[in-house]
Amino acid sequence: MLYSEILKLGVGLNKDVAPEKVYPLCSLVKGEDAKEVVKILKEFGYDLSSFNIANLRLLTLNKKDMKALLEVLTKIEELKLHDIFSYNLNVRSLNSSVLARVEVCLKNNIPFVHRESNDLISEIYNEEAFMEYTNGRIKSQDEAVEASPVEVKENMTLDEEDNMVRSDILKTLLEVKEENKDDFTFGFLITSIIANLDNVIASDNKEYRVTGNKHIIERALEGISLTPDMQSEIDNKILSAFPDVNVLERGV
Amino acid sequence: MKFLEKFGFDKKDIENLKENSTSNIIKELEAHKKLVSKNLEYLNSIGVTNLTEIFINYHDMFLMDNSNFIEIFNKYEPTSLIEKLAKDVRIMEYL
Repeated sequence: MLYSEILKLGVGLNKDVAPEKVYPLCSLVKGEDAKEVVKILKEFGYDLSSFNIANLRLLTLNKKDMKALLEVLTKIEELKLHDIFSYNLNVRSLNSSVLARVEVCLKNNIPFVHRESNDLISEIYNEEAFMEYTNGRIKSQDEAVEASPVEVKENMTLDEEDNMVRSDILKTLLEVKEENKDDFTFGFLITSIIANLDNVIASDNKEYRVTGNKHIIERALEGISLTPDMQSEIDNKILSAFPDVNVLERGV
Repeated sequence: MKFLEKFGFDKKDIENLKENSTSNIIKELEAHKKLVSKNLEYLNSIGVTNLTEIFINYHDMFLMDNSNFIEIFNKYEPTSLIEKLAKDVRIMEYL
């Protein structure tokens, strides 16, 4: 699409961005798809009058990406995060994994936005960095329901063996997630499990030596609201990725 | 996106790039890798220190014609420009 045609869709360019910088991007914008994206964003009440390059990139989404966009925007409304995502309206932020991490922060009173700029913090974009960032700050399910002020439990630290188990589980979960990266619900589910991992492992008293990593996952799933569809995804994709009996000798 | 490796991009950088883009843009970068490489080479030649970060955030600009691309940066004194880009990559779209 021509730059002028994009403007006609009701999309404005930030006055400090020279239009010639967005011409290559505009040439990748396809009329019908872009109209659809604009319609969706407008329906959700986003202001399109002062786009920068990262915002404009959204107009190059294809039909398949749009379905995911719709789900993410709906979830943003449910979480009442419209204002924050108005400042972070770009391809990278409007992603199910990012949103799942934001939700974990919300539930646990963990900051996820830079106060001055309203930008999401960098840890939100990377699973490993996020794990580091939230390590020891995730409350158990009961505590989360109570929504009490953040209180880090002293006994929630993981020792070397626990960390090995955590790394093994995390590696498998991230692989499973990668294999299903287009599935919004699935990505959300995996991130929710990961968020519960530390507490489950720390409180397991090393029973995983006997019961295996699958048992850890089952415990991490407790308290997550599941639909019947999710349950079958868990059985078929997540639990099946973990052997029934773990290496019994580990750490013994 | 293998052509990015010669500019120091590793697997994680390429993954970051993909997360920050759309499949349509990635296809275009691949289709115009000669032009993209030329623009990357230019920024490398003036001594930019955070090429990966710049590209991940503003890869679409690397689809600009090489002479137009160079023109954007030529207006500035290189040392100061490099310093400013290293400090805040967001100045890319306001240069």
